[in-house]
Amino acid sequence: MDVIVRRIESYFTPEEKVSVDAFLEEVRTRLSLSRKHTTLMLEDHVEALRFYCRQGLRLEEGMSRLDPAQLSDFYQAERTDWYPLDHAAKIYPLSMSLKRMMVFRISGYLKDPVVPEILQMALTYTIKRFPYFATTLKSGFFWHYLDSTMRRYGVKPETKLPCAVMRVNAGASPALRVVYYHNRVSVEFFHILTDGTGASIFLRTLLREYLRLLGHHIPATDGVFDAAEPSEPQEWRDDFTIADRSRKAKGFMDKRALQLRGAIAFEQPSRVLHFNLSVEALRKKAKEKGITITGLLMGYLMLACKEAAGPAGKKQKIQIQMPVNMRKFYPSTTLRNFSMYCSIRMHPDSITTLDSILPEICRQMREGSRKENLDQTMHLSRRLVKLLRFVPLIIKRPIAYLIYGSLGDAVFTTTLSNIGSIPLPREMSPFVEKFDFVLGAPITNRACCAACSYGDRLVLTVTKNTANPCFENALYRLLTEAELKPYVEGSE
Amino acid sequence: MNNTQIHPIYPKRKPGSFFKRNRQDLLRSAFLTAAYTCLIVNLLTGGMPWSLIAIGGLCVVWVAFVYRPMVEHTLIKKLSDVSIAVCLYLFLLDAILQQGWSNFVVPIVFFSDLLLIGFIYLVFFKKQKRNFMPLFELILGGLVSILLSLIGMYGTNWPQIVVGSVSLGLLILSALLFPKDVLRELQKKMHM
Repeated sequence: MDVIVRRIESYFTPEEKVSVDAFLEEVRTRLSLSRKHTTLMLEDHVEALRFYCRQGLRLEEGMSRLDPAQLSDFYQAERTDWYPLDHAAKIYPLSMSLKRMMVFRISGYLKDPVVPEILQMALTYTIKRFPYFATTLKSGFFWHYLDSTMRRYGVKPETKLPCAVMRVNAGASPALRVVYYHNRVSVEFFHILTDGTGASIFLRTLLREYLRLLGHHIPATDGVFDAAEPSEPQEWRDDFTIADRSRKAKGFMDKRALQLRGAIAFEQPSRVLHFNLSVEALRKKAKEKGITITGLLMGYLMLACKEAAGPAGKKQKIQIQMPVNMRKFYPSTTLRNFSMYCSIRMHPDSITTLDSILPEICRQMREGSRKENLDQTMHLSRRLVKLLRFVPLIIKRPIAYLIYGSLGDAVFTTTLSNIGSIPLPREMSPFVEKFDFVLGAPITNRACCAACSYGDRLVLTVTKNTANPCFENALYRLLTEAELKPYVEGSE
Repeated sequence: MNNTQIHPIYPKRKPGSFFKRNRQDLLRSAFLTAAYTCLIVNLLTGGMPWSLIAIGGLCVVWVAFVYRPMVEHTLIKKLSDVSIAVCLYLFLLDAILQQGWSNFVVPIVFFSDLLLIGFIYLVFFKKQKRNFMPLFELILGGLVSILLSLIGMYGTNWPQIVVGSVSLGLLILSALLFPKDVLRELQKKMHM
């Protein structure tokens, strides 16, 4: 607490200090956290007030923006809510290790540099709209689950490559991470919490709250939540249970796929690359070929995979995994995992030119993303969970770890996860430049790809697991030859 | 595509310590090497299976100082893991040395651990109440052992009676002092 007193004395005049002390006292009455987290939370308020004052805002105005009433009782009353993991999430904690964890990231690029003090306050207010994310992973006797935690959630400057492994084993470790770098705000999630859709809603709500604290009025529309509103129970529902029962159950097992060349890097991901493309140019090209943008990207990936793959056996195929958002088939508003996947398979010998492979890709995508087929995979996952529910975790974990480690993503060559266009309220667009979506490093695959778009910018991200550059070089050449003029950004 | 065409937008990676990054793997390799060496030397020289004692010791050191659970790395969990490892090691030692003291010594170690963990759990209940599971598992272990002893699976002695009493006492005390919290924790932990 001495730190806070010293800061107040150095930041504010004696007259201001009286008001700040009273303000902090009000904040303190709304906190029932550990001493460490209470101190940090009070420091956050002091730093944000100081930022406002430096910006020429009156102290009273600053204090009204940080009105302690916004904290409600989220950091005060003990939360006893807990959540069993959804059907898709159950495998992730079973198969994780110190170097292997299913983490993904979604980032928003602002037009101005990020103000860390305000971003911190924005997270403090936003997280209470998402109580399901304010949890920590725990072990039960049969399954893992998420238990609510009373703590401050902090933002940090970015120092590592995206999707680094999270430590989730401490008493109140969060399963998400908010980091910033220059004008970029990124949220990284352990996949047990949510999928791309939920992550995108969280990030947009965080950015809206950030902009609100900077004094901009932005309505909570276009899938952006109002951080002040209470959460709805259906947002935390495991919607695998509402899916239609299928007669057949199939989908998980598959043959090993052909992998790309290159030794797995010692540190993962070894590199992250973003191919910035024009949505308009892609749409024009896709229309020309009579296919969707995802289909077109899939075509280029298939060609790049062929160039970058090792020698093919007679039976080994290039298989690209494509997650499918089940929300388009069911009236779901859940923020938890609700995706299935299909895969597009082609033997390298049959991959010749883009025009020759697109009809087959189109057919497989149509077939694979049919509701009936995805229902069968979902049905299988439900049956597996039902079958394994009486097996203690102590037995399930080593078996799942071995199976996932030995097979895991070896049934795919790569992944293409396209979360599509990210909508924003019109009033928010002057402040946001673009978004990108990054998948964490795979286990066996040498690369995995993710895409999202905003306005006229589609960002295709490649997460590399090897130093061998043949895949991204092939992709770059193909996109350049198609006159799509990729602008490449990434890690060094 | 060459590197000049890639515009950096991530912070430069700091050269991390090789040992820090691969601490677990390196230690695992060292432990495995030591264990295999003991085993091979013991097999070649013959005589008493001392390598098992060495390997058991390595396992206890691993559990106590190296192993970190991926989920719930808490004080109670650590104490519980170490106490189980030590008890199993004592059984192993006695089995190899054939001196017949394990039925007496292991329960003493076990109820000492139970008392320590129970003390931490009850005294720091507000902080520790969500870390109930390892203690609950030890309590169940204690109750099962006294039950087996009472039905004549093996001889009853005073340390075993103390194990049973401490286990039952801790269970009753937790249930009496914090019934709602204990029930809620059990619901979470046992959900299927």
